[in-house]
Amino acid sequence: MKKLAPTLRLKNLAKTFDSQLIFENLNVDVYENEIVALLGPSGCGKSTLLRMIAGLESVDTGGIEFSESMQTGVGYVFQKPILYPHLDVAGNVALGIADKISKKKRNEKIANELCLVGLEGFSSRKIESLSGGEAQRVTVVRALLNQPALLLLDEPFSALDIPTRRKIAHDTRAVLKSKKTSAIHVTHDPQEAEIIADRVLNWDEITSHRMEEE
Amino acid sequence: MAGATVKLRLKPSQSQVQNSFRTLVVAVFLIGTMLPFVYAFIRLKMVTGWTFWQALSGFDTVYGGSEALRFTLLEAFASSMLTVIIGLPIAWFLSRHQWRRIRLLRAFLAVPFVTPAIVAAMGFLSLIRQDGILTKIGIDLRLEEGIIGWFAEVSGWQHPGHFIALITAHAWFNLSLMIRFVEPTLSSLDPAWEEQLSMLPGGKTRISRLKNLWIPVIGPAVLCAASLSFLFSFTSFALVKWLAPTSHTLESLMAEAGSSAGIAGYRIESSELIYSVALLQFLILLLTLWITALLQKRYSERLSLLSEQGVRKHHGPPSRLAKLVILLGILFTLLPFVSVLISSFQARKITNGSVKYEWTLEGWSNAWSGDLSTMGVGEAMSNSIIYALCTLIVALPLGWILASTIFKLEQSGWSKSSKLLDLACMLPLAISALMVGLGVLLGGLRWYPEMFNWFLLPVYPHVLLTVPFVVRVMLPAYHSLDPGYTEQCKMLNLSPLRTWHHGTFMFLRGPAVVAGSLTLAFSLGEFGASWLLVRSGTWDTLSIVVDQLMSRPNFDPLIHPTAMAAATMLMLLTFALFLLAERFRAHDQRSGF
Repeated sequence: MKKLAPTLRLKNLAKTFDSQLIFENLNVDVYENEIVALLGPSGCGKSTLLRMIAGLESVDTGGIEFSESMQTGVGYVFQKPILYPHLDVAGNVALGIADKISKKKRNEKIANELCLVGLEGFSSRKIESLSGGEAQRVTVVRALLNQPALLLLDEPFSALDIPTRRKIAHDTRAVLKSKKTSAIHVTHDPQEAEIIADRVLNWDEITSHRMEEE
Repeated sequence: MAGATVKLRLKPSQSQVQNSFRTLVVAVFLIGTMLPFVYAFIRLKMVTGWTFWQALSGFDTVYGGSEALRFTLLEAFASSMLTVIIGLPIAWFLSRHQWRRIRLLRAFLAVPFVTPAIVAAMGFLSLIRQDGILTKIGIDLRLEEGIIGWFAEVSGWQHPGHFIALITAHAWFNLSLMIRFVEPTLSSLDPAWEEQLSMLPGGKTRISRLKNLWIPVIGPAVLCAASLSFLFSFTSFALVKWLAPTSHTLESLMAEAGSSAGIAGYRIESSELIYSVALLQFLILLLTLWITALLQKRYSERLSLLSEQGVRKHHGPPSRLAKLVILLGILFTLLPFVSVLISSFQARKITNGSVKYEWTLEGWSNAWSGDLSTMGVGEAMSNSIIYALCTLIVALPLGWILASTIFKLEQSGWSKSSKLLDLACMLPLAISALMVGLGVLLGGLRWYPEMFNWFLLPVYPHVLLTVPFVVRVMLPAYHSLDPGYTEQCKMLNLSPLRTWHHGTFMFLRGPAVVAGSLTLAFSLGEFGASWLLVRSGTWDTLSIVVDQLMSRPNFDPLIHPTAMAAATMLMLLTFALFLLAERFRAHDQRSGF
């Protein structure tokens, strides 16, 4: 892979919660169109790192640098699919559309995007009727709709059974590649990391401190 | 093994006895609720010669009816709007931060809801009096001078002061509704919902987050609290009587005509008024309750809720703005109470034509000793406590059995029957305290006139008015029962009584204490029905004594402090019971009543 300037650079990052050090000296570069998997045990601070990149947590020390090409921002897929029950599938996906477009165009766009992840005809489905895997696919579609330069995936498939997890990991990789989106995927499943990522990083390799496993 | 199998099931005869007992209790409750009203309407129909339809269509011919309806709708709507405006920021900031002593804060802000209406009326009266706190800061709602006078002049609205005092008192009264409905949802809502939306184009701005998250999530709860606030403001009596004496609501119109209604050949217009107004009010209240039930169903479903402690920790300590809003909320809650207490120690004195207030204990000693026309506070308190205890003895087991019957019907798949019974249990709320009193008064006259010689008569409407609250507290407790405990008792071959004790009773003790304390508090402070039904001076309750004292000509400077002292006694008694209820309230039981 030809290495360009990194889309995202994490430099000497550190995080402390309630005076307990979670990690320090964390250094990672993520390049354009690259999918990086961060592999680490539960409780090591992987989700905290993603939240820091997304701006949901403050940075104690170190820096997070985005390249100038990152105009379209960051997308985030949470561990538990966050779909709003007062909206149907199309309504939830529409939250990811930034441009003002006609209702007809919007519906067409949503239907097309849903097709990409195997959810044809799901537009008017109620959220309660979705399985865990279907719900997580909807959140991936929604997060990618605005074409973010970087997608953060916070163990989004961890609650699914193994075959479904593998299948969605495959499909997600295909969608990310087709949209040329960089991504950081955190997981504690090495096989899932191998399926989805171009590069797999072990947590121990990128930090100089790791919390005891919970 | 065979023996164990037999013990696992209830014997058919036991089950039949239980079912028959439940049916009997439900029948007694329904007959007890409906009979006075059926009799009352039959009597009014007979006296007026009007059919139901004629009574409804003849509403605009009733003296003062249309004006009272307009005023009632206006004040109830304005009151519920003001409740939302004041209550929503308080509920928002209370639920979005990690407060120290949150239970105490929540209990404190909920106190107005159980405060007797007459105490609230006295509180606001003392706030707006000549030397009251509001007048001192330039808000003269009584004589409408200063800023209120300017507002009246600019808007062309005559006497806005009384109206403002009334809707503010209603908002104060219903503040806890907003907190009880909105706060549980907000303080347990998964923060990821908000974070996820803020990461999407559909949630980048405050307006879009309001539209896509907050309105759908807390909108139904806000509307639910607002519609209940509308209901309670619509049926408010003591506050209207004292804070808006120049205006009539449907309730106060009925109260005025109540004592001369239902007598054949005597002041037929009073019977026509009661018949017509009561029917219309009943329909409006029924519609409001139905809307509330629909909203309640919507707000209680489909939210991703986490543990309150975790969510509060996520949001962190309160900001300065949050502290300021909660402090203002506490001041707003506290002000009428403090004002009543201070007023009980102050008597008016006119020297050289100017009015001054002096500190005195005479109000308290007068209130305690009473006089020839008004009962002493001690005696009235003992009446109030006797009525409240009798109400407790009947209403608590009755409401408990009704709640268990609704739960049993739900469990057996009889969902329509359970919903119907649940609705029937709420009926007294749709009738209002005064209408319950009128029903017992008019129905009782036809049914069994001797009942008006019976000292315990006021217990009857008190039971009808408190049963809905017992049901509303006990039913969620039944829903949260883990059937595993009962099954385990059965597996251990315990007797049915011990099974009930260990599997059910031990888990319902707390909610039962909450329901009992609320029953006592509501009965102690009940005013509308007692005002109509207390037929003898020896039956007077504390609420009635306060009303009687304030109704006296005001030239005696000790009238005001004496009434305030009586109100303070009632206030303290209610607070003690409320604190007891809060002490036993489960940590997760924060919604509803």
